Amino acid sequence: MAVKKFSIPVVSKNRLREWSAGYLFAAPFILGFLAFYAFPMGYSFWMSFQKWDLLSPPKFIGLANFTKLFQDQVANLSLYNSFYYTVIAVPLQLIVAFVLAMALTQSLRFRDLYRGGFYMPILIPIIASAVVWQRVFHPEYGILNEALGWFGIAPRKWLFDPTLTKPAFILMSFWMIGRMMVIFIAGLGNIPSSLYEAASLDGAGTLRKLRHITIPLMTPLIFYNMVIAIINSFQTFIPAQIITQGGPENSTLFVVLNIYRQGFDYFNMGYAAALSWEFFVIILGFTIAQFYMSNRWVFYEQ
Amino acid sequence: MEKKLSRRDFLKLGAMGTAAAVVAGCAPAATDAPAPAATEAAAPEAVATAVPPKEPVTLDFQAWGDNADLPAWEKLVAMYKERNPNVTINYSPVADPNVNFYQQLQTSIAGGTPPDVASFQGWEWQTYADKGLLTPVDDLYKRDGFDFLYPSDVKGIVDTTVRNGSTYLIPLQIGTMLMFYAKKPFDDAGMPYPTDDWTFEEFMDMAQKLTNTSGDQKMFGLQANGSWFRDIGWIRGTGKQEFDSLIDPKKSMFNQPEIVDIMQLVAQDMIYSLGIAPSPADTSGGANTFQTGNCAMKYEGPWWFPTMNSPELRAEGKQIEFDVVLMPKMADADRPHRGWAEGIALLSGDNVEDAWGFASFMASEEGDKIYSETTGRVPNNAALVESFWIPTVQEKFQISNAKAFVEAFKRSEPDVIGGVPRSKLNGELVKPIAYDKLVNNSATAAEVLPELDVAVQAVLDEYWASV
Repeated sequence: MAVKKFSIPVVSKNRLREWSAGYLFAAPFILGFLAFYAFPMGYSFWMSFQKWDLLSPPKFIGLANFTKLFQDQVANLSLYNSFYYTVIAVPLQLIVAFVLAMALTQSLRFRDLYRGGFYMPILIPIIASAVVWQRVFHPEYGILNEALGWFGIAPRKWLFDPTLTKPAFILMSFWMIGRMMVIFIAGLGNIPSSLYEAASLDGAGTLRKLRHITIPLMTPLIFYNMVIAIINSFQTFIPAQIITQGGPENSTLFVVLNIYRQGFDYFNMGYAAALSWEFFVIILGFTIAQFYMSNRWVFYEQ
Repeated sequence: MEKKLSRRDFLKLGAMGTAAAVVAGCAPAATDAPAPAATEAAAPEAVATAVPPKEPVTLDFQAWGDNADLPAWEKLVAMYKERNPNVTINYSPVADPNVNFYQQLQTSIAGGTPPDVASFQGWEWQTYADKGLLTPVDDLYKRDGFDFLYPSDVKGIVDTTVRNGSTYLIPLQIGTMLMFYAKKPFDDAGMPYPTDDWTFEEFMDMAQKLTNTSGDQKMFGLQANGSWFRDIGWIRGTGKQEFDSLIDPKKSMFNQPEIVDIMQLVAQDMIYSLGIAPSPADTSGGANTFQTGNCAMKYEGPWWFPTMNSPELRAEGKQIEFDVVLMPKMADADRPHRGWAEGIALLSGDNVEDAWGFASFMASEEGDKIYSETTGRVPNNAALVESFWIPTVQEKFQISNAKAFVEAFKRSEPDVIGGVPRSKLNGELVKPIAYDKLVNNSATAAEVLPELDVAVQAVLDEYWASV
């Protein structure tokens, strides 16, 4: 049997020219990726092994930051807060956005106006939204307590009771479901009407059509919205920083806010970097798990 | 045959040109062309300042960006530039400075672009000095005759401007806090105003009598401050202090009966069991406060004057008629008040001499007068306080007892000064472990202060082990 020789492939000049053209056009992205993603990530990884307060040179401390974060009650509480918020908010957001999308694909008068109205909060800067919601939740003058009063429900100290702040934040998150809703509307519009007609001929009612046609065909978009919503929920920062500053009693101290505080309020830069990497691994694991489990419930047409 | 430029080659050249433009755009901006040679600046009458430099100079000034300060910085910068045309001052006020100032400063230091001059509060600069980031100014003071500042025996000034025998902070203002009282609630209740010799029992009695939360318009006797460093005034009045030493403490001593009792009272009972102070929920969004006319008294400082009663507010009929009084007498016969200096420091670098020129102008009698008049803050100079500040605030803000600030400052002591800054102690420890729970009524002082002592002691031990 002839022995196959290993040889270094020789690339032709034409091929090299093609590659160089490709790399040249991709250069802005590559440079940007290296400068704004890869380098900062690598630097923060290195920083996670240092003790650094920005005022004096970093000092190598090995795995001390990682040991600390497992024992730090505040860090663990921030993880709990972020998980609580995500696990409850995301499914509710998906359900509400889906129901809204279904409603807004019906033939309604002023349908486009409603669509625009539900989408508009996305355009408002989140800081402005946070200030508005602070007024909505005001224990004495807020319209939410006013509305609850119409039904005989006593006013609540929404942003001042540690047991109510996270539910208040979850309620606030529905303000921003316009993006999800628009994606669902697009998806609903792509479902062939022939399927519904065939189902009707077979005697399927509304709920059966929803369960056996609409939802299965929408699973790719549900999955997409879910992945994005989970990542965004984990990254909640501005409302907590603006409205409650992580309080009361750290009940709204989410992970990103804790990382920011450790780095820029307490100048524990190395520890903040270690927290960031812990969080990155958690979100990455979550995302991989979602993709793995999606094989069981997401149906792609192909 | 002529070689035509192919579409591929054209696109390649276009991409290279765009990339070159992007890189050029990211290059640092060119400095301005040098200004004409500076003329000699006229020195203020009472104070000698550094001879202005003749070469073009650019100074970076990171300034405390409180709304009260912004117009003062603008005036001072403009005035200095007018007298020193060769000096360009890049003035950067930091908005919401209580939250952002030191973050921005430390980031710029870490990034290798520290300012030449920076604002500092009297209890925050020590860490920077310990790490060699600030320039001591004693020699500059001596050389330029900078000796008219507040008397050097005032503890509040010394402790917050000097460290390990060297002066770092150049004061622009002295700070202390008194009890502000709104006159209307007292008039409506037919009660006499408090006086400087009032006692703590009289204060509590007044606060309770003034409180009426039954109607639509609530009135509270006191707007509680709800933070450790604001309640230090009450704590020290008991004759006890939270540390073995207020300068470079080694031992945490929060868990003393007198401190437990006073913190329980001012941080929790006043709000929840006595009901004489609004809760955080009551004051959220700015409601039920001294400014809205719903609280009769509040512990505050002179920076508050312009927001309460100024000529502009009086023209609109929106002023709060108020005055000030010393904190009530408590167990400590010395009646210590919180006191400190705030000002500017020179960061170590190549521009120290030029930075001193600008800093010394701001701290001179002329510059400080402008600063004080614009901001309402107490100037750095005892003579200026008596001759200028007291008459100014009497006329501009209608305060009749402004001399109480002078009296308070003479009795002043710092909050706590050391290698572990007060902001770190408060933000990482005192607030989350103690004050959040007290103010939220979810734990008592007796429950949280032992835990706080353990945590603070650990941080102090860690610091001293590293020194």
